[in-house]
Amino acid sequence: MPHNKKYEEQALLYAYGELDDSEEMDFLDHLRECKACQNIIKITALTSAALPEHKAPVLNLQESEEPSWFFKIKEFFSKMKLSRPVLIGGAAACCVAVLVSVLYPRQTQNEGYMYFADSIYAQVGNIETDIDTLLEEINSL
Amino acid sequence: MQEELIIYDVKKGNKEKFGLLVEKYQDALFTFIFYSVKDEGTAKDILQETFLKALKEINNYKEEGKFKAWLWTIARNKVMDFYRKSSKIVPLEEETLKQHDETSKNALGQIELKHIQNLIEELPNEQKEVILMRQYLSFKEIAAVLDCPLGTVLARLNRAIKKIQKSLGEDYAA
Repeated sequence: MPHNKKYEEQALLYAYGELDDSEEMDFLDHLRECKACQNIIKITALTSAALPEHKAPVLNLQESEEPSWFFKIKEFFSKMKLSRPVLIGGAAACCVAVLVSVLYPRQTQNEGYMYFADSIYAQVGNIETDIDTLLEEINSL
Repeated sequence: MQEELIIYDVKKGNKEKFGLLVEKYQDALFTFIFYSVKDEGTAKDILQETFLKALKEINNYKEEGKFKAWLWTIARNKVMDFYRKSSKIVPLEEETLKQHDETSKNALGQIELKHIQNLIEELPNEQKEVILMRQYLSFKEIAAVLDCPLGTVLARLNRAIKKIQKSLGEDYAA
């Protein structure tokens, strides 16, 4: 039988020891005469020889078993399978919420400080008036 | 101890048994990853990530007897992630292979394994990975990893062998 696609596939299977026993006899008959199939087998052998096994380095499978909080958050959102616009909208809403929660109390706090300052000024003013009356009394003596 | 029994134990919470699976596959998997990324440090990182992911998702492994293909699928995805992040996929055209071949053939005058290694390295990714996987997986297992028919795997390997054959020149011509 002349060389064809079927024999090419059989040559590959034979080269890697996966050709069915039922097909092997027929293929071996063909192989004796076919230089193309012989070359396929030679080249597969060369490719295997060119890729020697490498010893794996020592692994540390403990070090990153506990994922970081960032990874956990990322994982959480990726599991939700949200679309990009929804994710961007959600992130924007979160940013606004954080800004409001940070800035609003600060503003009211500032107002509180101002009330406090005013009351101190008022008290200082009272003390100044008291001192003035005292000075007047001293002068009248 | 049978592999499926070890997996059963790991699923039940005996994580230490996972070490037996690591021991069994680490060299083969490292070799596959190393030839895929061509950097020892990166290969080690990807190998580590592969085993960690396998351990984390072992409960998702349901197909009995296909653990090796499952593990290789994780490793292959990690390799693909690496390429995606570093944008290193450069599919080489026939012309590049020809040019490379002319220079190395003239310089060497004979086939060396290093030269074959370079030719494998320069193959398009889908052909290269089939050659690399076939060192440790059967054609059926490769088809499972790549999620494609067996015929496709054989066709890719055939194309790869033909390209190498062409580059090696007259001695190996059909």
